[in-house]
Amino acid sequence: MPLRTPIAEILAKFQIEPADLSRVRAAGEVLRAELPAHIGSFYDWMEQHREYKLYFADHPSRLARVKEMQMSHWHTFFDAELDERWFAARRHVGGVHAHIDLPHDIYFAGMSMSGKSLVDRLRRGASDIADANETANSLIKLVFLDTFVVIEEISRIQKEKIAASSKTLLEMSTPVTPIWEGILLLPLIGIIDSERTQDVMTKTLDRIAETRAKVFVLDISGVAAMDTAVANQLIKITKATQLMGCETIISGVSPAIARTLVELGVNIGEVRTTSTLRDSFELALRAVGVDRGLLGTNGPAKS
Amino acid sequence: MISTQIRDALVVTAGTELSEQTLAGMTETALENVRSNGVRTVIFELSALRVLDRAEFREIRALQQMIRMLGGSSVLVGLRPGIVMYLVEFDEDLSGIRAFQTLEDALDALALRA
Repeated sequence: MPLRTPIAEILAKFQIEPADLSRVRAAGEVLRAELPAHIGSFYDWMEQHREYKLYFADHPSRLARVKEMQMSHWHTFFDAELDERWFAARRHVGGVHAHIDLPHDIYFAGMSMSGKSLVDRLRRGASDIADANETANSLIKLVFLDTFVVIEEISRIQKEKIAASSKTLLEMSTPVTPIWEGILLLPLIGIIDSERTQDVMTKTLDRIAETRAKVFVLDISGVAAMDTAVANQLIKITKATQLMGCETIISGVSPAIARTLVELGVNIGEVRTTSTLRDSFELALRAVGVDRGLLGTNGPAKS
Repeated sequence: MISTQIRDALVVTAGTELSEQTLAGMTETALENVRSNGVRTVIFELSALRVLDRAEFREIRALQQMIRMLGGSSVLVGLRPGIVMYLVEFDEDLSGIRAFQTLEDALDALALRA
């Protein structure tokens, strides 16, 4: 995947200058030898958190592999060659963590712990390094950049996952179903927005063309909220089905919705509405010519 | 454009698109038949139609009005979902239109089938 922001721009934003990078490289001379000890202390720290148990308890081989990857990660960190490959490697780390759904808090906490651990080691070996304080700052800046690239990739992947699943949900949420010869039913549930009404429109018209339905029952008893925009969209759908030779009956109109619609001044025109699905279904059956007598007499008591 | 008379109905079938010429032909055929051949209902069979823009749709609406003025009535048959969605999206006036999916449905509804 290409970088969205040029590397130079990112470095400028994080105030990382060539001097920082050479200080990190110089610190590497001392700290590379300390890396095994650092990683040891990292996993001592990690062991106190439940994520350790979650990810490593039953996978001793995974732990070894991760330690190895972490080692090479810190080696490239001290190489401080911030090129495409450096960024790609960080994004790969992000991908791995997104895959196991690692929470952000533990990643940030881990990087914070690592930064502190490395800076502590740097201070202890301070005598061997010129301007240890400046070096500590440079180290921290680079740790932040490193963390940022990883987290950005994690959240990019999470967003992708969410977008994909909401698309699936949209697909699932519009089940236009034939329930009788010539009758289609769509129970609308949840929150209706313009994207969904568009989807409802498309699916319904396609199904009408496909099944040659004469009646379309739109049940809105599961709709959470109704406003002028949504009402107008629903009326548009009824007009559209009309042009396809299919009458729309809206069922499940609650007293609250009826009130809202009237108060909003929505003109429902010639749309037939009923409060119960049962009444709509009866209207629909009559419209396709099913004899009431054939349906039995278990209707509402008349006396 | 093809037209067929079935008892007191006239089926006017359009092709894949409505040219200026087709529309003029449809108008003339429909009005002439309502006036002198005892046609009471004109059925516009539009199922072959792939595109219909708003201007063309308004021409059809105008033609429907002319038929009404001559004492006849008219219905639309076979509009495709894409065309319907387009017309609804642009808030075209659709009031009072009688429409059917298939010619069979229209003939049934008008009690014209043997």
